[in-house]
Amino acid sequence: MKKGMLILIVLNLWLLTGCWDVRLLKDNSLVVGMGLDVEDDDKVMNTSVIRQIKQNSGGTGKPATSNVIYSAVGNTLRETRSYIEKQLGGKYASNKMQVLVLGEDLAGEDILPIIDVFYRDPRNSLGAKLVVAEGTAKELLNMKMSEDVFISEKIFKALIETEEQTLIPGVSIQSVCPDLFDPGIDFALPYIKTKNSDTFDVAGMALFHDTSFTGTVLEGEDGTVLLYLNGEHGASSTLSFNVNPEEEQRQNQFITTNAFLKDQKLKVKVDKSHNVSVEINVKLNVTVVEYPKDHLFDHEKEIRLNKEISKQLTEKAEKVIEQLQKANCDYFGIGRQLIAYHPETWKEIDWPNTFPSIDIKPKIEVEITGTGILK
Amino acid sequence: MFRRRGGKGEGLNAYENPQQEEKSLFPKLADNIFFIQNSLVHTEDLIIQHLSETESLFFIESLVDSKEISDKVLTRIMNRDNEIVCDKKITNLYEMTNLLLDGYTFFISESMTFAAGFNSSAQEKRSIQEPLSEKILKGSHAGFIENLDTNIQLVRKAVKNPKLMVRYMTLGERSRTKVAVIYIEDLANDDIINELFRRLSYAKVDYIQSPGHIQEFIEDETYSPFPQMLNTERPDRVVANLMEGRFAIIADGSPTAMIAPINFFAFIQTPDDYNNRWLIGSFLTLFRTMSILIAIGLPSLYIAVVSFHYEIIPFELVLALKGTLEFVPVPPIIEAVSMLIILELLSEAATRLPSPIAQTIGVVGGLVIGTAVVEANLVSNSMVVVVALTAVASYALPITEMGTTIRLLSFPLMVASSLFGLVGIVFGLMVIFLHLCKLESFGTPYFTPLAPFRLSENKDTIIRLPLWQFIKRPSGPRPKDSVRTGHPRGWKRDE
Amino acid sequence: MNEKSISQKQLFFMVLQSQIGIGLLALPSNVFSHSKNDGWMSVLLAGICIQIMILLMWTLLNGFKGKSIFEISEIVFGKYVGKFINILYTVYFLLVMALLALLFANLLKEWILGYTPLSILLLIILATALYIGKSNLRVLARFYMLTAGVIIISIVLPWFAFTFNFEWAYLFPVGQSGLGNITMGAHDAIVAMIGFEIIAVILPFVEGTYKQTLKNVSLANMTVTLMYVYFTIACYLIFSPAEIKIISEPVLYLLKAVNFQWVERLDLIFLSIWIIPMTTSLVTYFYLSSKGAAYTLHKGQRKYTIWYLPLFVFILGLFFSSEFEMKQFSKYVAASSYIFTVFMPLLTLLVSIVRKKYNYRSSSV
Repeated sequence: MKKGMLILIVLNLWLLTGCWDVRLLKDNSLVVGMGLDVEDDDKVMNTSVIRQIKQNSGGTGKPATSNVIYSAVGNTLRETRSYIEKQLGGKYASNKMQVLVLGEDLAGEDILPIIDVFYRDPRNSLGAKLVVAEGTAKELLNMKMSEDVFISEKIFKALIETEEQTLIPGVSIQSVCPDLFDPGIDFALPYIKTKNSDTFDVAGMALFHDTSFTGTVLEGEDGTVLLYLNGEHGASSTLSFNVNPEEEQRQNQFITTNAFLKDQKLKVKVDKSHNVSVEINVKLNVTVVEYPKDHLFDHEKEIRLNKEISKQLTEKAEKVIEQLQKANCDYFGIGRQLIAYHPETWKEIDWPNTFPSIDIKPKIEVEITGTGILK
Repeated sequence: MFRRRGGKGEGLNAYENPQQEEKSLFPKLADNIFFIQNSLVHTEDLIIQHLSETESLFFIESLVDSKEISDKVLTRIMNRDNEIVCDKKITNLYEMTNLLLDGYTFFISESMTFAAGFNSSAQEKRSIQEPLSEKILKGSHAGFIENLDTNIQLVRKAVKNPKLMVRYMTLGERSRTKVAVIYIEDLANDDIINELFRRLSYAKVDYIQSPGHIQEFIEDETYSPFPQMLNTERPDRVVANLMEGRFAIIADGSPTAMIAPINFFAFIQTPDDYNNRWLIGSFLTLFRTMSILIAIGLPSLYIAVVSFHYEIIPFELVLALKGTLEFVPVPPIIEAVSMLIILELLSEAATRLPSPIAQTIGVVGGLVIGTAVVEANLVSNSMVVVVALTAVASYALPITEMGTTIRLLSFPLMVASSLFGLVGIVFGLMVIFLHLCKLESFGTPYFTPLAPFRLSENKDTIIRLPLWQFIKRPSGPRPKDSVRTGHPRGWKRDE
Repeated sequence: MNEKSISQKQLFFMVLQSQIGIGLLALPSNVFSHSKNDGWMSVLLAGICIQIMILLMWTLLNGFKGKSIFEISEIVFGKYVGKFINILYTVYFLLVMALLALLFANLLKEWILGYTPLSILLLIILATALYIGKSNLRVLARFYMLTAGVIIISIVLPWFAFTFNFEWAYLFPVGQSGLGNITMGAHDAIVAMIGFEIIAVILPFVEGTYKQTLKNVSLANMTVTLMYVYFTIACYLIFSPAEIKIISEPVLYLLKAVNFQWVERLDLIFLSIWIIPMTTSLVTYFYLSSKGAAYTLHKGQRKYTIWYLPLFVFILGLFFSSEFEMKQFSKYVAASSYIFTVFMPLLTLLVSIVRKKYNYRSSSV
């Protein structure tokens, strides 16, 4: 022990010279959100939302914080960072970042070189949510509202909420990483729209092919259907169907349900001439939350509704898949299945050219399992 | 390590009877009186009462109970026929001097060939109280006092075992302190007992006040921050340990017993664990284990987090911590060390003062310094929380010695963490753990049953299982008889 | 030799802790470079190879009960040749120690302490290793067994990584890379799994029969193999093949993105925990080399060797600056490990049989 103490005392001497890796929390300027856009000359524009503590809030009082937004243009992300650091008193610390917003134009290019630094630096936060913004990220982060509320937190919370409702996939910087590198699977990011430059909403899913945005956005329930087809689900989802078009009052035409994914199966079939066909079977359990028109006393009515809803959902799924194929976004990872289980076929065909034309048959079966506390 | 080996003691039995010289009684009373007065440097409280020309009574006024002399000694002397009824018959004058110092009264008559000794020592003692530093909720509230005989009596009363061995010896060349080693003959390992006496034989010092003095002479590793002998004032703790084959050392004049060979986990157990039902005992022990971890690691972990790896903690917490830290001018290590020093000062001041003033210290320290320091932005709020938690955790340990050790060890860990963050903490902890693995108490591993790991003996380290599961004694002290119980719940099986 | 004996259980943990170490962190991606997503089979194969090496070493030791490898080589080859061979062993152990220390320091620099000079990191690593390694075998055994608890935590941690998407398809098609590549991959894995050489020195101090020791050492090796396979598969399930190629420490990367309510950056925590097995395997080689040097140069006294060997490693470490140099060094050490774990024991065994020094009777007991 004495030797151990001695060693520690010797190490103490280094304390006087200062330590190399100390990054005191108080010296760091926490970046909570970052927006990336492409500039005219192909440079990157970095818009950072930085959380700062107000001077008058030391001591026992509750700390008051405020958002400050900085922008800088540079060739690489790290370059923009050092430009921002020049404006900023304190170290630029993006390791507790919550959202990374990609501008639409930037997402349309290969995004891998731009976000490379997040994977390379061990200190970076890989848990940050990755989203695509309509227009530019700068506009989104700089919107008027950002003076009153913490814009990045608001986006973060909106994302979490929509994930729970199975509207968008739960995506972080890390979770897209395997897909970015894998030729056999594509991904989708949440898509945020700005409304009258003062509010935003999470509109749906931006489909990617390989590493770039295809321009196609699945909005609303389309996204939910796609997620269910891929076996992903949040806590639940709210789906409405027009089951009684003949009714006069519009509200009576509809049934609104809460859906829960029960089962999802994806089958890839390959015949001898390397024709790929895919079958997707999804089973959903739904509970009726709104159905003013009728009361489901007898089983007959339930069965009719089950059939009707299943039919409508399957139709919707077909449309979604059509969109997917048009955008050439292999969201289901069919290519990966081919690599794993049919490697000969994979070698034979040119996947990006084949995917839009393959046969994908979705089938969604719905069963009403509950009607709330009313029949 | 610097291991100093002293010169060899003069034979193994030297310690048992430090009085070597022999001087037999003179035939003439005057010679005897002269000799005793000389050997007690003519001290003025030595009273020599001349009963007649040839008979005298010797005693040291300050040590004896005058009632004893008038009731017992004088009646016996007056009523003697041929033979005098006395406690001791002494012919050696040196021995007589020693016994005088123990409070004996001697009667010397020229007609007798010996000096008749009567035990007449004054028993000035405190009543038996619960020890202040080791309070418990349930169970015996008796505590040792400063009187050796009473202490042994307390132990004997709890174990009425004929094999309970008490070995006296006198330590301290000038203080002549009476020291007792207690163990159970058919449990304690002979090698360990022999080793103890071998070590004690080297303990030649002039003054011994308490077992704490002896501890540093016979401990395996004095440079270690960890105590390798358990100091306690509780008879029940002593008895429980005797029953596991350990020995205890008690010295006259001190209410503290020293138990060895001991292991680390004995320091986090209290009699309360065993006096309660096992689930509650486990719960308490678990929390105490946790308190060790908090006391040793929390400040350094906090330093590592706020100065190296704040990514570890969640976003909201980062913001909260940043809010409290933002305007503190000093780095976290200085913050932590200064706060801990303030804390140590406060507790030190409060221990020494009478309790009404100690309360004032508590108020001044806790409220005034605590809030003022934070409001002045000298120390962050979060650091105050951390330091307070650390302090509470370290005081939660039942043996204060260990609590202090743990708090002491948190300082090098803090330095390590301020240099290298989590890496520094891990390296620091490794050094501490290796030290614990290396440490031995009287040749038995200190960190048992974790290192060397013995699963079956982990029944009362971090949790405490029902007592009937403790079939075997812990193997740490290498007891002669390893089986502790039969089947206390055999009634259930035999239903 | 004033070493005290250790128990069979402790032997198990000593071998386990010596084998597990820094090699694991980069293992999945190293193996991947040869055997693609069949890497886990390479690891399994490597485990079997190690088992064969253990058998070889054990057979040799079994013929000379109560003797360590240093004593055996002097008995078999005579005093001077034996001494030379012992020096070779010592140098090998020392080089492995240096390699481990360097890799260790580099890893810390890359993942946690980016700005701290390598020399300082080396210094704290070696200082800790020195403090641990200078204690005797019994204390080491206690320490290894005590700290083995953290391995369990490190096994549990990757489970949390599974909370997000993992893909069974990444493991398929099984066997695509062919036997040749799998064997090549096994070479990478073997490098990460050496450390069992410790039995060559400590086996004489183990209580119980040699048969029991074989059982425990094999069990330890099996545990290590299974654990490595587990980590390899975990990484392959989570990273796509293209990704795993470019990630240098997949096991850490795996944990990097896991978010909990209360803890983030699990990789930091994992790495901090993993420091312990990394240190123990370093200490193992430190112990072996100091033993070897002590046996050949100081009549078995480790008093001096424990001081100058780390110093030597430290000075050696100052010469390596780039990752490339380190890789070269690592390659040479890996190649030499075959000499000292396969060739030398085999040679000793054959020579001892030829020269009739091998004690068959003791081996049959």
